[in-house]
Amino acid sequence: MSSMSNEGFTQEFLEEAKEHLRSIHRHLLALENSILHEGQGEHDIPRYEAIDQLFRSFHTLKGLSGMIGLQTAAQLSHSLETVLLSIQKTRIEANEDVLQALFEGTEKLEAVIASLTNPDAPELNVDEQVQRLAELLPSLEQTEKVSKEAAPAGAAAPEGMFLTMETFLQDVLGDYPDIRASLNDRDYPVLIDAALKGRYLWLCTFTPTSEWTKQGINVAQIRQELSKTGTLIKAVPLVSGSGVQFSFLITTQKPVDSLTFPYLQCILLLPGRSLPEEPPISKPRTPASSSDATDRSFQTNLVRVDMKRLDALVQMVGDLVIQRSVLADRLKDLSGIKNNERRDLTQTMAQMDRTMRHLRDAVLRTRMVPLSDVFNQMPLAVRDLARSTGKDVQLILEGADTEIDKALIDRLFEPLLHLVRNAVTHGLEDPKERLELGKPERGRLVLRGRPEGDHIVVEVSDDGRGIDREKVVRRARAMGITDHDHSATDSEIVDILCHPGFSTQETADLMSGRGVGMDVVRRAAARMNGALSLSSEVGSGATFSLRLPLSLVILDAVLVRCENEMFAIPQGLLDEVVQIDLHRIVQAESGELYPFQEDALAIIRLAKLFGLPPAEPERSPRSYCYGLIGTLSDRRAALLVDRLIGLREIVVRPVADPLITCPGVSGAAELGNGQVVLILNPNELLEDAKRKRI
Amino acid sequence: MPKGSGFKMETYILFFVGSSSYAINTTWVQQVEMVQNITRVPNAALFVEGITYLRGQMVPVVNLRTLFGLDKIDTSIRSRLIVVRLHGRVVGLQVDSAREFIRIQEEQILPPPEDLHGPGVEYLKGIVSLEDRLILVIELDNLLNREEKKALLNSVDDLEKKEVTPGERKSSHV
Repeated sequence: MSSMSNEGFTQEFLEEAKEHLRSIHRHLLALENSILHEGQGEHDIPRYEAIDQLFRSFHTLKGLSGMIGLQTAAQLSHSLETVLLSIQKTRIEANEDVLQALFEGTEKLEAVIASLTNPDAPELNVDEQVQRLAELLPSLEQTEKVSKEAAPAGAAAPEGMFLTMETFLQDVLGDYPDIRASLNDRDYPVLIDAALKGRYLWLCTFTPTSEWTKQGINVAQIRQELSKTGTLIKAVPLVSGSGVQFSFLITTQKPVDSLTFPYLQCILLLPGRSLPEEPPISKPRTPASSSDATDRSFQTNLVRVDMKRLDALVQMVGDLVIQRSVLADRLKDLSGIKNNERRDLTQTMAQMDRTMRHLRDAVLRTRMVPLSDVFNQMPLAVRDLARSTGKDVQLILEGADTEIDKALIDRLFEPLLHLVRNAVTHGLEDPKERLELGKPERGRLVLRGRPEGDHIVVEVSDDGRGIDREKVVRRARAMGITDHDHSATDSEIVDILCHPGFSTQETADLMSGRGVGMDVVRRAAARMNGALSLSSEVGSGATFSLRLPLSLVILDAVLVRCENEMFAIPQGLLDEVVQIDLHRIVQAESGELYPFQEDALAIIRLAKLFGLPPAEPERSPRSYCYGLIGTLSDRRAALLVDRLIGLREIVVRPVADPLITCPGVSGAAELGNGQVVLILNPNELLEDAKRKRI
Repeated sequence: MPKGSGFKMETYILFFVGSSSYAINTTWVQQVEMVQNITRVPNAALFVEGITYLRGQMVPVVNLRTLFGLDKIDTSIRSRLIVVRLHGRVVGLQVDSAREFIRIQEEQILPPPEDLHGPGVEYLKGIVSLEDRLILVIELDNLLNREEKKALLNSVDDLEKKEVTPGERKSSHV
């Protein structure tokens, strides 16, 4: 696992470190001013605040450095932090000597961090600076320090440094063993991410009393309030003595005053960085010997943009896309113009089309982030899983530079972790069993990303037991979930595994536990307009694939009509559209069938599934309609609609309100004339139909 | 009318559903729209008319006639969509007509008589008598939160169930 690529984290770390070092410069200068002109004039920043900020910045840098394994930087930050703590506690006085040592230490720290960008740079030695800083400390602390570091030979971690998840947890939650015990590997990456991003981490405790209940304050309401304030990581109910308490672990972007609820007791576990406190970029920097050099060595050519601005940009492009299609419709209907005029207009329209496509692609590209953002959170989880299950796992990341929309990557984490957990826990055999099977002792787990047209595919692949179809089908038949025979395809196996009834069963021994929680994965994929598929070979492993659109926002969709309603279906979710001769549909015992390519398609009527009121009969009734075959249906079922209207770019808007959510509907789009169409996921609809046995 | 802290006037929007008149505090009202371009949502609750697009957002439309147990009628030129925002949620309420704003003092709102019957009484905050008119004042929380409350209650149940599981009854402290 130590061979893991940390590139994504490194980049993020550099960005973070740079901001902290800037703040350190500013506050060191403020401290210098206050020392040199003691009691005179006005200072931008009061002395105590400068010291406090310096302490926090070094503390955070220590943690960050520890987490990416930059031990020299962590060690040096720790020394700097210790000196500031002593100043804060008035054990030592901040004089020119101290200041000089702080400046020098900071300079070295910058150099060490900057050396990360140059793989060939020799490892820098920080002993001199650490020693100098240690000498500043009162003698008691000094000896304590020395003895502590001398005890374990070599590279002992300075106390409080987040070298591993355990030390991180100890540092942050050491005083709260119950909370700590309630966290699992799903929470860890969230915590690390919060620390990296400079978020504030809080522990808020609510003790229900009849008084609060009278005022209508309950756990659900607090959850809601906290979710508005920050990100709720965990809610833990605790029984203490005779009473009950609820503890909430939450991260916020804003500092202290953002958490003042009368009914909550809030403790700050990890100080973050408050965004507005960052120095404005345009503000002229006070000349400082080393700051310019620092900036040069950190040049990353990146711009930080608030996601909201990108969202707004995409919305505008989306509006433009829709207005363009309205314009195209109007142009088609235009009568009474000369042919050459029409030709000119059509030509201009075509040019505009091309530019619009480019604009759309360019804007969507600005939102793209590499898969490594989520891949890099997995090694830690895999390590913990491997340890707790006694497996030996080699995690291999492939195609981590494949890019995906930022909005999608945030939603990808949970399903991916689910698949990874299943693979380690149930897919891979333990080392002894592997040896007996003639497999390498170490199990292979591959996370793979690759582009596929305007989609990306994320795969979780293991070389473990694989899935025993026969057993799965037998079990599913016994439970009445399926009537498939033993020849079930991979796609039908996925259907069974994702059946909520099947998932909740105790099936671990039976089918490698793949069913546990699989419905969650599939639902998450469906919400992203994506699809989940499987390929597995008994004895040699299983691969689960998530196929996702590059963007959630603007899609190419097929517009269809069914009775009086119009619907949009993302093109990427359609495998094929088949013209269906209505006279050739056969009524079979299991439902309607249609002869197709020497096989039979099960016909699922959308009108029936949705209970659509029938439209006025047409004057000359059609003898054919269309069957939509989803990417996952193995060409065994088709969704029947009345007419195809055409292909169109749509802007996807979420449909979130519980009043209007519907299985198989992943969102809605407005067509430019105020009309709303629902966006359908054919895979989900076919699955839903099967479940309802329509 | 005497001015003072004890006589706080608030603005309400007055609307009609069937033969009764109702009022909603305008604090929650975002806009009033014509009823148009509503797309049906399959398998939704009976009182959900469908989905409509307003100011960059997909908004559910609740038909108050259906919710109050009245027969559906065709929308007319007088039909209105009162768009309300509550707890971050935006919902359109389809009503037969809505044209007037009225000012009501909190004190004027009387608790609904126990024997009051009729469409929508379970959603009332109280009643107001204004120039011989009886106006039913709607409590928006009651109106919107029925579904949501159920969902929330479930999540609390989960939490609280966890807490009484014998295995987890270890001595704990915070």
